[in-house]
Amino acid sequence: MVKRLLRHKPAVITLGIILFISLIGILAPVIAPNDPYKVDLINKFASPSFEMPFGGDQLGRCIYSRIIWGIRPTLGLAFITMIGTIGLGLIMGLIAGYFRVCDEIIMRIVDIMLAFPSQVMVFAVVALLGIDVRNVILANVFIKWAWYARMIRTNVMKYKEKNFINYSRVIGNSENFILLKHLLPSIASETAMLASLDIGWAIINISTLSFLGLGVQAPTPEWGAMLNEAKEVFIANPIQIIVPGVAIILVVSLFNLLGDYLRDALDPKEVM
Amino acid sequence: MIKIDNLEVHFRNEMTSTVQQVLKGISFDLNEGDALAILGESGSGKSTLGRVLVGLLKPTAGQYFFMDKQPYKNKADRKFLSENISIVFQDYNTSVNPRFTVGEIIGESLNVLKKRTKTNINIKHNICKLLNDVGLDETYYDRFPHQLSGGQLQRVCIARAVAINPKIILFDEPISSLDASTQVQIMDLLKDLREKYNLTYIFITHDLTSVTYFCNKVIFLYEGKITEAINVKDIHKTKDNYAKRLLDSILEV
Repeated sequence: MVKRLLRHKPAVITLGIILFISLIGILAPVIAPNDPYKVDLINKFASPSFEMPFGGDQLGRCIYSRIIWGIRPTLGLAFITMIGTIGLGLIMGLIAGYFRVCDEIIMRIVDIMLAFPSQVMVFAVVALLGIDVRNVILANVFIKWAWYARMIRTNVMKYKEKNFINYSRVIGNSENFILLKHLLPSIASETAMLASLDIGWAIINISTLSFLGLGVQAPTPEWGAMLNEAKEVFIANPIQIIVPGVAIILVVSLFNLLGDYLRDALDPKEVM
Repeated sequence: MIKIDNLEVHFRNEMTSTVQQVLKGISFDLNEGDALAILGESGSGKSTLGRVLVGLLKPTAGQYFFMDKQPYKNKADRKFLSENISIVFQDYNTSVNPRFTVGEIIGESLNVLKKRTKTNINIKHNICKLLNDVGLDETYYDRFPHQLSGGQLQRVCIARAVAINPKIILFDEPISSLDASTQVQIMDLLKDLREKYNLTYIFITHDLTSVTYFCNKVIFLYEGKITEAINVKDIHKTKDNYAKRLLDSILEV
């Protein structure tokens, strides 16, 4: 599967850019020229210069450094959300679809979850548990796992009846082999595709909540929170709102593109 | 070798909760070295019978003895069945994992064999040997299923079925989705393999001409019942209506 992925050029390039951005985020203390928290009123709305490539914000903090430091919460939280969502969805999907335990019960719970408007649900959870990043992630996982559970269950049931799994059964191959070598790789590409599309969704969702003041709190340099601060000074210093906005659009588009390319790259019948 | 006594399979329709009888009171015997053909039209229950024989479907009622063991009664016997039986499916496209190479497909069987016998098998060498046995060669080792033709893929499936050293192989319409000349080639291959490995065959088909090729016994299945069990050389003496119809249709051609 990895080999197929590496032969698909656009997928490799997109993945490369995403990894590069992540790497910048990880190395933020080294790469960022200034301290993202350092308030320096002399530099308030400073014009872009060599020390501050995107200028200063309303408190004189370096916007460039804040964007770089902002990669950590923005991407990191989105990744954690997706890992939680897929993990829970996979477990529930396998229990219901493969082991056929409590299938009816799990699927009815999924139906109930899918009937809730997701945004309202997030607000409700955050309102209930208090404003905190952990609660935002919890709320996102809580509303999103049902999509994955249902998709994975459907796929598992589709592949479970395929003859190559029947053959493994007939010759008495181990349950582990069937699960790890046949079933999971078969559902992996579709899940990976959906997951990379949904990381974009998670980034936007977390940024939206931060923008509304329900997620990451100021002064943490999260892109959504930066937009929130910038909207107050939109006229005076437009660059402050443009930069994090463009950053969000760029990263979300990258993940959406990756989703498309993964579909192409991981389809075994696709000729390359 | 196989003894089936009064076997019944019912399916319950979940929507209407009516019970559909797919197999009704099937009984037959199969001796070692036989090549038994199970003949019937679509919907006669022949594939269902195949699923019961290989251990995929628990019958609703009746007894299934495999070498005096009862695979549906206890786990050890089920394991014994899986060590001695193998299967080749009709649809070669879904019967192999599209993400596996030919080497991995046959290797799966060999790994099972290796684990079971606890002997050291040179997997790669054996795969090449098996590929040669079914009329392919080592160049196919790293190919993916979608890079092979139907006939070649069915040969890979046959190699994989032979690889676990079974006593008996069940063929569920192995040649029905192949063209005429490939059909003959595959039939020749099956004939050779049977002599080489001393195998017992169960051959599910709807095609009477292929039955006469190497089977010595034939069972006619019609609407879930055995209408006639007969030796192939006596087939012209059949009294069964469905069998007669089939024979007539071939003679007309």
